[in-house]
Amino acid sequence: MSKSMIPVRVASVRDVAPKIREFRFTAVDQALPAFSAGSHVMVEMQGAEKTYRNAYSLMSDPADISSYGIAVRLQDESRGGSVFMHTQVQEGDVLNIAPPANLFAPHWAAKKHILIAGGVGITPFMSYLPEMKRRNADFELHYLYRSAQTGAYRQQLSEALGEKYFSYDSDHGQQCIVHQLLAQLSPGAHVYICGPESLIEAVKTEAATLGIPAGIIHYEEFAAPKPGKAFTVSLASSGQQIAVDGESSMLEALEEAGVEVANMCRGGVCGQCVTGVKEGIPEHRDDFLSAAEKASGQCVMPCVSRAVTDSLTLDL
Amino acid sequence: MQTNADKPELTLNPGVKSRPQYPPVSLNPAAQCQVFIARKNTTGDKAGALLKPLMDEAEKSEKSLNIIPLVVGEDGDVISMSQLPQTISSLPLASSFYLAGTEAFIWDVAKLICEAGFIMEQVHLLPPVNNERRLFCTHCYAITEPVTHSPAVCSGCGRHLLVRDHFSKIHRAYVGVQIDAEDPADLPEESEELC
Amino acid sequence: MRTAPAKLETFRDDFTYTNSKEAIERFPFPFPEDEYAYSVNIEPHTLPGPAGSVNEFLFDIDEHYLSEMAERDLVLKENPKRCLAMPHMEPACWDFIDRAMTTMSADYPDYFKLEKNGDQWHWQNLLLKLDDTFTFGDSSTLPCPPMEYMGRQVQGDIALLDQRDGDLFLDAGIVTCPADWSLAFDAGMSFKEWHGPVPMAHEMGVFDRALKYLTAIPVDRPVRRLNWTLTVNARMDTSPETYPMWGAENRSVTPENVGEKVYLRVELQVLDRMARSNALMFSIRTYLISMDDLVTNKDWARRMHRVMKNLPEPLIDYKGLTHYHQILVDWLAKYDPVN
Repeated sequence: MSKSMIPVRVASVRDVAPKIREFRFTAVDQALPAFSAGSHVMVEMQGAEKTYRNAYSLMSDPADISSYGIAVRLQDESRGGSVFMHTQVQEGDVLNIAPPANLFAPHWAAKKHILIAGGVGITPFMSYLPEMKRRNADFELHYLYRSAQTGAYRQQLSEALGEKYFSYDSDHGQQCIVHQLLAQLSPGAHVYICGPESLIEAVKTEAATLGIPAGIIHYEEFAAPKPGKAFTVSLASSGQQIAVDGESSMLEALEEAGVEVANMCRGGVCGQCVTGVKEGIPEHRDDFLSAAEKASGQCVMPCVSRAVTDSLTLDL
Repeated sequence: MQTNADKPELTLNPGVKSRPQYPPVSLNPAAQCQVFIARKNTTGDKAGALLKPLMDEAEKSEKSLNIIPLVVGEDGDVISMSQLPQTISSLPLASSFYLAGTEAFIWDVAKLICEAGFIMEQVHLLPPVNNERRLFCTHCYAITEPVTHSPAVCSGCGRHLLVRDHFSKIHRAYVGVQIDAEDPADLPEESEELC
Repeated sequence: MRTAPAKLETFRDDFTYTNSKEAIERFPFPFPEDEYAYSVNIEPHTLPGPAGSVNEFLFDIDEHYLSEMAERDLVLKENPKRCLAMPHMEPACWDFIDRAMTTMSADYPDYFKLEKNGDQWHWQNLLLKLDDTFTFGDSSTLPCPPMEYMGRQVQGDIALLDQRDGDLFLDAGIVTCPADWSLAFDAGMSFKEWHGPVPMAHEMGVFDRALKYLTAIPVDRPVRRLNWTLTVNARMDTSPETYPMWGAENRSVTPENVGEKVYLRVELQVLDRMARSNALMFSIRTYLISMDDLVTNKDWARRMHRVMKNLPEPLIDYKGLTHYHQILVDWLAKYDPVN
């Protein structure tokens, strides 16, 4: 996939919250493509030991493509990517990014947009807000954070949005009562959540209890690859054995070994990397394959899925 | 030459996915407001009968539900189609809708519901009460209804149209294509019984 | 450099359309195997593709450009509703203008020129002798609505698909050379609804899979697939709207005229993300080749026979080949003696 990457220069780095660092990228040799609100890019990071690839929401104004902005939270259970961004990446560095894709666009036909951000989950909404203002869309932003760690941009948001802005700092005991928030919605409202899984689950559960249709609740479905137990991948064509350590995804291990697998979202959503399984039992963690396909055990998505058995023979 | 008797009655073709499916409807117990909308029928209350079991169930429900029956017609005692949008827009977000009537009617109402900001997940369509279809002529774009046999004569251009199982939710109609275009010599008989 | 756009040819009445030797050589023959299997067969449309091929650029401009644009004008004059754009598709239409003008002026600098000065754009189409200055994003500064304006300057049909709820909706387009589908009727349909009439494909789950793939397509990474059917006479506008005018031609094929009457009709379908609107552009670029021209390539002739001979019955009906399929198979047999 390296040939389809876009080189970008790190134009600025700044801390925007105790654990969140913002990066601005500018073009190196080709202009940055335009993008739509809610888009993400995959950033490739060349570490000393391995290459990290993480998807980050673009948080800049879609009307201004002179630069791209991303914000990275230092993850407590990092697989390395966020640590690399925080400790290794400096102004002037050149990184590769994949072109923008969008699996979290606003539902523009909505009569009102309710944005619920948790911590660093504010990022996609940073690209929504200028676009919503341009389109005169009706919206509210509900921002949940812990000021000791997150809460980036809250001053600027509060000033820019006025009464459309609601903030909840749990480090100061401020709680968002999801039930109240949802109970007052009218027909035509759509709800967007970006934040930890617990926040998404809380909103979905309250909505179900209130009888609010699931289809108006939108959330970014990325399942970042989570660690698991180590296993070995065998390639059916060559017999080559590739070790997948507990911290790396199967796709990363294949790429490290020089095996090219088409991929795009690296989050179990797009289906580009589906690979046949000849032997062994996969542990499916994706949102792409159907239940029947998962049960058959004949294919796997190496971007997020792992192995139940100690080894997995892939049709590669 | 074809006679009227040879014309096939319209039948379901389960293999075609753009013909709407009408799976069994059950009550959504989580909804705060249960809205039942039926078309008043001069030849018996088939639509009302379809909705009755669901309404009975809603009334028995332990949750104190808000139950709203709406009968749509042109008489003084019922609500007219033109009054429906205002009624729908006053309902809460957590509403469920149950629609019964002809196929064109239930899709017309579904469109009004969605225009008010609700989504199709909240709209439950009971199987159409008869096999009447609304037909969109692909040649002159005229609408012909009701249509119960194929081929049908287009109200706009008069062509004999084969009624295909290809349904548009925007037009709330099936597409009709001239049946004798390949062989103009084989014109089916025109018959007033078609419409 | 490909053959420059030739003089006007017709796709109706006297059918003066012909392919040059170069056009035959670059024809996108669609059958990779002897057996025809319906599949979504999507692949990356990596640009630039092989020099001179139909895959070289995002919009392929060839020797039939002027003829096809004249044919499009005839269709739109007869029925302006062959082009439509729902109001919410305005940003997508401008994305389409941006993408077409930017790539065409870079790919064919002799034919198209674009100067951008902020929002003020100056566009020259030297082939159609257009010279327009307009404000990007402001439809009132164009001579006609944006979908029609750009649609009249690219070969092939264009549909703009709105992406929402994980699905794609046919909410804008200019469709004057379709293989038997109506934009006016299919407008607003979801991906599965407008594919409704395709036999067998639903059962194979191919559309579910394709939809997930298509909604995840990033900016600047188009994908493509080929589709095909047969057409009697070199008729571009085989639409349901005009079927009463051409339906009878399906019965005009005889063993004597198969070679000149029957055309293989190939659609190069390209899907490209519209950057600002997140819509997906679906361009359907149609190529026609007569059987007489096709069999000048011996490999194509042999494979064409095998594919036609083994075509499943439902597909023969769906593609409207019933009246002449057997005549064609018999005629092609002489190019495939062992089969």
